[in-house]
Amino acid sequence: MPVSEKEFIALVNENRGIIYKVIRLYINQEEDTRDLYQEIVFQAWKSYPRFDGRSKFSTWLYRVGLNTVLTFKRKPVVVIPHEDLASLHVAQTKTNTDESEALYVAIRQLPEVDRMIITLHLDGYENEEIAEITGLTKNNTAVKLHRIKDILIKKLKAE
Amino acid sequence: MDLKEVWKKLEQEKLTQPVAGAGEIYKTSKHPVQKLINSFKMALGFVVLFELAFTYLAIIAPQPVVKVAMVLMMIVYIFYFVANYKTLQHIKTTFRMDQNLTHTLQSIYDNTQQSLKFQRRSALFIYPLAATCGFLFGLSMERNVVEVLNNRWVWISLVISIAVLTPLSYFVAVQLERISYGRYLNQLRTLIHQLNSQT
Repeated sequence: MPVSEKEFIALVNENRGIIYKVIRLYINQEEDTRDLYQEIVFQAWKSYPRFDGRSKFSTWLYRVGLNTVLTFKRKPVVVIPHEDLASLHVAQTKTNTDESEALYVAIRQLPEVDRMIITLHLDGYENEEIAEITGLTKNNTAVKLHRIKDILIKKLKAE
Repeated sequence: MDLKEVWKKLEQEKLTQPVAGAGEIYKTSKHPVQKLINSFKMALGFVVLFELAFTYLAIIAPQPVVKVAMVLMMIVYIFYFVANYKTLQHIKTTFRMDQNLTHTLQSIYDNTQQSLKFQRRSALFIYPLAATCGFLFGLSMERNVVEVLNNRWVWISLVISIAVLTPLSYFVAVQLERISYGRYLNQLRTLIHQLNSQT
């Protein structure tokens, strides 16, 4: 069913938390966030005429967001000198005592596709759906997921 | 440890914090595939311009043989138009961010490469034809082309023109292709490689 641009924006606004989540998980530089938000909304707008409604809009938007962020040309991350990195780590462990913060840091250290797999899993997607979104086989997804969860739990316990 | 519980907390506290830029849809994209689409649109624009130029030249050409040459060029450019248009349509229909990303990008990359390769190869036959057309058009401004072609030196000049212009035009076309498509295709190749290496 065709929707106007205004209706589409309203629909996106209702689900914008999903876009924020994708951006917060993948973007390091605040200046990139605006561009990426626009890119995701633009790509969603372009793909929306072929959205068949088989999945929920939020699920569909999540997929568009993740795919867009993986192909988004980000500004290079500023390289922190080695000596500064050590002091930064100390500062982080002092302030990021909360488990959720530690999980955030741990997830952001994962490779991008692994990050995608674990966030989809944590958001309640089944392995089959994750496989469909990422293009992996169901078995490969299960294996990777198991490995990623192990890594995360080890990191969180080490904190 | 229940990761899902920790995740829920994280979501409330950090992940869904607003970012700048919500609101309208800005209809521009920095995506390499979108840049490819723009390049193909521009190529189509140039093809239309050339078609118009050849039509005009065919009308003003004083001699029938030159008119035929211009019509030949118009036919060649119709083929170019179709080739570019088909590739553009393929990219536009394939480029969806709600599909399997690796397959989508790979399909666009392969199809674009194939189209550009076809155009590069066919150009090697087109440039001699274009050089001949230009040569005839130039001659027709002052003399009767059919009569002039009986002169051996005119043929030698034509062959030399073709021999010089064909590789030169090919070189220029390859450089233009690199500017218009090359960097975006490179970005796509890198993306596909990155996605494949992570999966």
